[in-house]
Amino acid sequence: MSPARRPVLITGLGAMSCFGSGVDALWQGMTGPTTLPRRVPDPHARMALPLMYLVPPAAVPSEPAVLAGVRLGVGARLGVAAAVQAIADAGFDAVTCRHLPVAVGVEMDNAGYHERCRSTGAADPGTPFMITASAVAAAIGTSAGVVSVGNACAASGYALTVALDMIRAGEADAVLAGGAEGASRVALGCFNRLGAVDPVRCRPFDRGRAGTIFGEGAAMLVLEAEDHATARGARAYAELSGATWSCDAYHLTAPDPVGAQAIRSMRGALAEARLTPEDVGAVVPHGTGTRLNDVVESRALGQVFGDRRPPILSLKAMIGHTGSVAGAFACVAAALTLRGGRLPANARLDEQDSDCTVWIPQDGPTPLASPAVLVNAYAFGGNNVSLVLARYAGQ
Amino acid sequence: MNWVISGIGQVGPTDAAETNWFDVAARLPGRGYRRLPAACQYLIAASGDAIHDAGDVLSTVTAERRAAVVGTNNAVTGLLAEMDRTIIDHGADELSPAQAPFFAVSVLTARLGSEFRLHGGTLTTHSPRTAGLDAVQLGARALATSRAGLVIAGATEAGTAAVDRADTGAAVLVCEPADSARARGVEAYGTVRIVTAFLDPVTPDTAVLDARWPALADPVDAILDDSPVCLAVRTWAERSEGGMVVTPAPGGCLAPVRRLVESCATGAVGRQLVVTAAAHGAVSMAAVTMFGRKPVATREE
Repeated sequence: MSPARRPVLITGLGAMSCFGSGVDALWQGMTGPTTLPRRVPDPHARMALPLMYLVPPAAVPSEPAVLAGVRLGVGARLGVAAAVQAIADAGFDAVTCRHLPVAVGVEMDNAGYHERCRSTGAADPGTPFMITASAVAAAIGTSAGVVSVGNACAASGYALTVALDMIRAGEADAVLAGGAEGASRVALGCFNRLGAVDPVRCRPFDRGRAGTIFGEGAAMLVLEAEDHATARGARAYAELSGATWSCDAYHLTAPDPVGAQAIRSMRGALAEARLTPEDVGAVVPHGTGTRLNDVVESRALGQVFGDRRPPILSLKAMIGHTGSVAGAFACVAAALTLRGGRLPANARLDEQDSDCTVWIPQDGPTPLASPAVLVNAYAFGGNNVSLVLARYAGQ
Repeated sequence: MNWVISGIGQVGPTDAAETNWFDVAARLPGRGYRRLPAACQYLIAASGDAIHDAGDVLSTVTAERRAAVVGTNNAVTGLLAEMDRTIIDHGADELSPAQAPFFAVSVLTARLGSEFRLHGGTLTTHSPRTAGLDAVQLGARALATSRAGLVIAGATEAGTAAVDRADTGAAVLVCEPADSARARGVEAYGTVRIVTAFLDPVTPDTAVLDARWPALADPVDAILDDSPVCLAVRTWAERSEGGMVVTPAPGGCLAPVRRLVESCATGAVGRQLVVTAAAHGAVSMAAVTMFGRKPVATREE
């Protein structure tokens, strides 16, 4: 690929997570004690393991409640909250927001609200149930356009790539991109049915891991062209310097054990960023806690990095598997890591799987030895995206 | 980059009230199709028709350069409701493991990946009403940024009782760089330029549409409902020198993509503007330029 060379910076962040509201809460939680999931407060969630990392109820906003007659569930409200944080963090005013396109990755979106209606015996609200992107666009007051992007657990990673391409193509000077997801009984039930839920906590790369555990949340990033950011004196967390898509085209739920397309995505993202594996100071892997993903990804990382294994940040062990939001959360974590120059300590494993030969520092923060962070997000259906965030030299 | 439509395909009932119109055994012979969600079956069938219509395109584009972007609003609405009912009434253990992956609607598009070896990536869009045109726009951008050398772009829907005037079927375009089609000796149907905007759902202001589309001269084919956003768009588009036809919008995002396919299928030379919008704010305008190519015979003929 030969991308346009208009550098794209990350100038605003917003997050709603199991640690509460805001990026500071996210970072404090990431650097704090190991979090545990809890049982979803849903008496109709008839399944063996109804566990999730939930946003604290007190942190879930009650507004906006409605968009064009559609009642908004938790996911949409989390998305709006994170979006408002991100544009405030970027220092954007209402005039700037009018020209700010929105690209949001979601998968279940307002399905949680529909499920609550069925629980209470209320009439089915019908459709649409993909409404978060429009809710975000309405909340920030844009006229520039909105796209709602789905790719299961890689959705927000793809949304960030869409935003990156829009800026490089000259369609926009800045784009708000990210993801949002609330709890969904159907999603949780299906993962239970597929035997993909851990009974304890989300334990990626652990020998005893038995699946993943979902997390609620929203993560939004402002992507901005360097020339636009510089002209207004904005500071940047990092540069989003490379991204590559691929698809295993192998199986609907299992990754290709060879990992050829995942490897291609990582190498492609690095090449697009004009970086080498030696430039990568840390990796935020997809790392879900499922038996297959973690070992396949570990081997793929080994193919890309050889004997030199950069430290990883096992984010899902901290906030759960946030589904469509995973890629955006990983990029927020990567941006914060690059700003601070240190990778937080990982949640302690009981015992690392010997087949997962990744370096998981657990005893304390790890200084970034190289100026880039690689992010992976993989999805049901075999879609992969890798993104490279690099320290921005201009700040 | 200039890109063109080199193949078209669509499936759907001839009558909105028609049931059992899709014979999966006849349209998708072989294993593994019968238990797919209906919208996935429609998508695979229409995509196969479009690829056939595009000529020998798969042999000239490596798998790593092939991608798909598909829009949908209701492909799994009915399935999600059924699954939820099962969980509530009987528990998650009673869910079908074959159907379970499709709780994620993007898995329908991903299924195209294994069908046609699309290692370049598959992506789903789902903004209400505009998702189909969004898919074409994202596909065009993927070509322009060289993320892909071939994009299967379109929309699929499965009618469900939960959706008022639900649409059903699939419509697909094969999109590739103009140079690639020319090198293959394939005549292109035309091309599409898509512009999007967002209007406030309560007090929609069409000034942004004036800025996006200052000269409105082509015939307008508008697919709209009676929401404030759509009424504002209708008023704005009425001034087109080419005139306007308004169709009440069915539920879903399929109709605008059908218009693109049908515009290509006429074999006419000319331009047309397909406009759609949703009550929640999204507006999408597709300027179609038709080159005059007539479709080849379908696989069924």
